[in-house]
Amino acid sequence: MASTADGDDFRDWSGLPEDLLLTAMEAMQLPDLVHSGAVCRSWHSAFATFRRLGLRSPPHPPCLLYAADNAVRLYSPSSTGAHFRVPLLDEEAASGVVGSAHGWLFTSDRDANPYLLNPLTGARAALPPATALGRVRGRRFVFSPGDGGRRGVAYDVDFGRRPGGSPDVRQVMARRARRWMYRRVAMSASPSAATGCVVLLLHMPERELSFARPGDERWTPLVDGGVWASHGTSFLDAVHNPGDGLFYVLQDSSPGGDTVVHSLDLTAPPPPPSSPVATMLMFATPPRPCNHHLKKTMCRYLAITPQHPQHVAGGLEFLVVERRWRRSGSDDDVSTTEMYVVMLRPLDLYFYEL
Amino acid sequence: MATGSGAAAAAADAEEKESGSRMITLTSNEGKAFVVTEASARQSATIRSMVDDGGCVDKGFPLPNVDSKTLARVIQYCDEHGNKEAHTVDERAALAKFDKDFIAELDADKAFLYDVTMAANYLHIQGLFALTTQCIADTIKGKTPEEIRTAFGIEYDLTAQDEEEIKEEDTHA
Repeated sequence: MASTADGDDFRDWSGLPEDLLLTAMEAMQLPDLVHSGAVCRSWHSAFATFRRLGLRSPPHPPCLLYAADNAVRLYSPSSTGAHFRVPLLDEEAASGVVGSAHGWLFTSDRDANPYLLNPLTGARAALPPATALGRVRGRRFVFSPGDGGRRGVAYDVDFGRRPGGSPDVRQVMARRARRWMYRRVAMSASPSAATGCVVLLLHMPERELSFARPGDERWTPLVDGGVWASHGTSFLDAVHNPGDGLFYVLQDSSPGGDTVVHSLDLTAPPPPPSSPVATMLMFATPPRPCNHHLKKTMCRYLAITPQHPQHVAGGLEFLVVERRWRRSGSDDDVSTTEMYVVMLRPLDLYFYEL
Repeated sequence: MATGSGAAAAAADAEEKESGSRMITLTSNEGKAFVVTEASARQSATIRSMVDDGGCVDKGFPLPNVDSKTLARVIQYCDEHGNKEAHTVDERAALAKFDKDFIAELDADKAFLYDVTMAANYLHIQGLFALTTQCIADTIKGKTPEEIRTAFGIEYDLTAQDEEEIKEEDTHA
């Protein structure tokens, strides 16, 4: 013990045994945890161990987690309103982040295989690989120096529009697949939760839906039985509502058509039933400015209004947030031009099985 | 500590009554002897396992890592949790108040907090250890790294490389 000036009152807190400090860290809220990791060398090293071991801290107040500059950033309104940069143990993970829920990130590895990552502890939960998606036909290693120097893992993806129609298999490099394949993700719970976690994935090439539980071997595609196809082409967003345990998905409506939201009950314990129960909720689409030249550069998000989360499907109120944006210059340089928030008005309900 | 229900608790109670009359001597690193009830000493998993292994109950237990001042307070905790019942609401409230006062004292004196934490860790006194680590977490709560250093008298020894690694908190507040 380096006993310096303070005599009797000096205690070497930086020399605290690591397991002891780890126990204290398990009792800390997230911002405090990050701050503790920046106190001194030994605490910094304990924090690294904490993350490596995937230790768990108590339930945290909500934080906003977002990916920026190849790292994950965390905004904690509950503490001091501070932003944290959370360095990921795997640098690759930051560039593949598709979404987050319950403190976990959905991201993919170098070969575009998706997994769940707890950015704070570094804990991972395995998901079925890219080849376990319905339209991925195969995986190859490509090395063709003459062809623009393409090398690496590539996937054969069937772009054929109709199931049973003629296949249209094209090659997608893994590094492109990481940014392109996975569009939106919704999760029913943390993978560490006892209630079981279902991951609903909105993915390419047709903005279709598949779901899996951590540890599953395959993604289970939600194949449309005709109801979906008759009401539009593709899905735009998926959310999970903890109030009733259902997933809600927003479907693109045909021009001038009504907005369609489907509810999905995927909570049945494995093995999943072949026909998850779905309900289609139809909504009148309120008129809003439509700039046709901007139509391609917009995206929509589905949100459930927070005041009545316990209501059953018919009683929920849905918002659609529409963001229009413009690309200026490089690929990543995007500026939002308009935002619309639209409250959906219920028209009708249909119950059906997939 | 005691939950007051269930077969395990009942068995523990019975065991306590049977062995509770025995007294055990704990000796601090300054050679001072403390005589405690076995029920009190059993709060420490370290001592409990030595007693159960048929160890030297009569000779007592020297504790070379614990000084007299700290040991006296740790024993107070063990007496409170080992000798007293916690079946009724009032009894539990009294224990909770004891813990609260204990925490307040630890919170006010960081050197004391350090000593008790180390002793609770060494003696494996689970309840006390949880109290002290929670107290450490509470001390850190809402503080910046610099404030944490001040609170615990920790010197800044991070290298440029560590800082690069940390790249912590960007406060845009």
